[in-house]
Amino acid sequence: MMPAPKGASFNFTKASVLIIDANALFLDLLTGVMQGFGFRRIQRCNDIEAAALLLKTRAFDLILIDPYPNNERAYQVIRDVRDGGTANAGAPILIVTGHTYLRLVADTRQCGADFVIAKPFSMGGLLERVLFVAKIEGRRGGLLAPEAPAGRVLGAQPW
Amino acid sequence: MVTTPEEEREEAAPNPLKSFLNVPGGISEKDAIQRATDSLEMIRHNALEEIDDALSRVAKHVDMGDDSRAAAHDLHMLGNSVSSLAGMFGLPQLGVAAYCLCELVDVLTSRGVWDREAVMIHYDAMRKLREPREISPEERERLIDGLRKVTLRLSRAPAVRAVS
Repeated sequence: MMPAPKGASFNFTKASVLIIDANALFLDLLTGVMQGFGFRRIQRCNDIEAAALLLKTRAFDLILIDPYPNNERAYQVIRDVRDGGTANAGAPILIVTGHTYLRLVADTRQCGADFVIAKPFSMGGLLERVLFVAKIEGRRGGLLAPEAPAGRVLGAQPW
Repeated sequence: MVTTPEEEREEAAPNPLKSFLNVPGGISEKDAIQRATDSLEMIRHNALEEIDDALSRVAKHVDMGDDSRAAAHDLHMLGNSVSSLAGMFGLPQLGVAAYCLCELVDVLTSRGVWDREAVMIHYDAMRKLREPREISPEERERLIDGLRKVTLRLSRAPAVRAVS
């Protein structure tokens, strides 16, 4: 991945971001972090079904989602966003999650998300990925270079 | 002509976030990172409280010895919460131990077995790693290494007891 050039500036004050996380405290944490990055139009959601409805009616410039603990449903919501022809079809989608079991990489590719970021993350690491996905165009969900390794994977399917 | 979903994605909609790069009135990466780091400090107290609450709930599960699937699910949720938060607030090894707890629960539930002692070992390690300065770096590493070995052993062992 090409890092954003040092000293590059960006202005996210008018960009809208949707944060989806079942953990209320992590919603607070991500809200503060995104505010630090300059975002002011922040929509928070701790329920995947509420988020699915929101994504059908409102346009966002960036979507952060932790699929846990409803992983399969969350992937379906992302697929619907990508394939549904809505205003969010081109929005970058970052999966920000704690339990990064290895099948997640394949699941993410298939559902159309752009990147997986493991919790805990560094502020620099998250910003680098936000700036990276801000630049990409075209096919989505194919940016994760490493293939899921063959063989047995611990925690392949949590729930 | 019929197009596959993959081909349709090739013609993806424009990326709306792109228009916010290199525009007037922006901030630098350095400033953004500093502001985000400052925002973390504002919730440090709440985060540590949530971690302690999660540890208390893990302790209750250990005491009760509940081997139901619902209890396993709750343990996984607690482990995931601690794993996500601890490393962001100066407790990286506690986060790793909590991640190990998630892996342990995954292994046990996927095999349809339960092992209360293994869960207890993970809780003890997490409790010690909550106050990392009270133990040596070598001891911390030994604890984490021990947790990984427990899960590896159980992933290869025959069933102990069926999960209800």
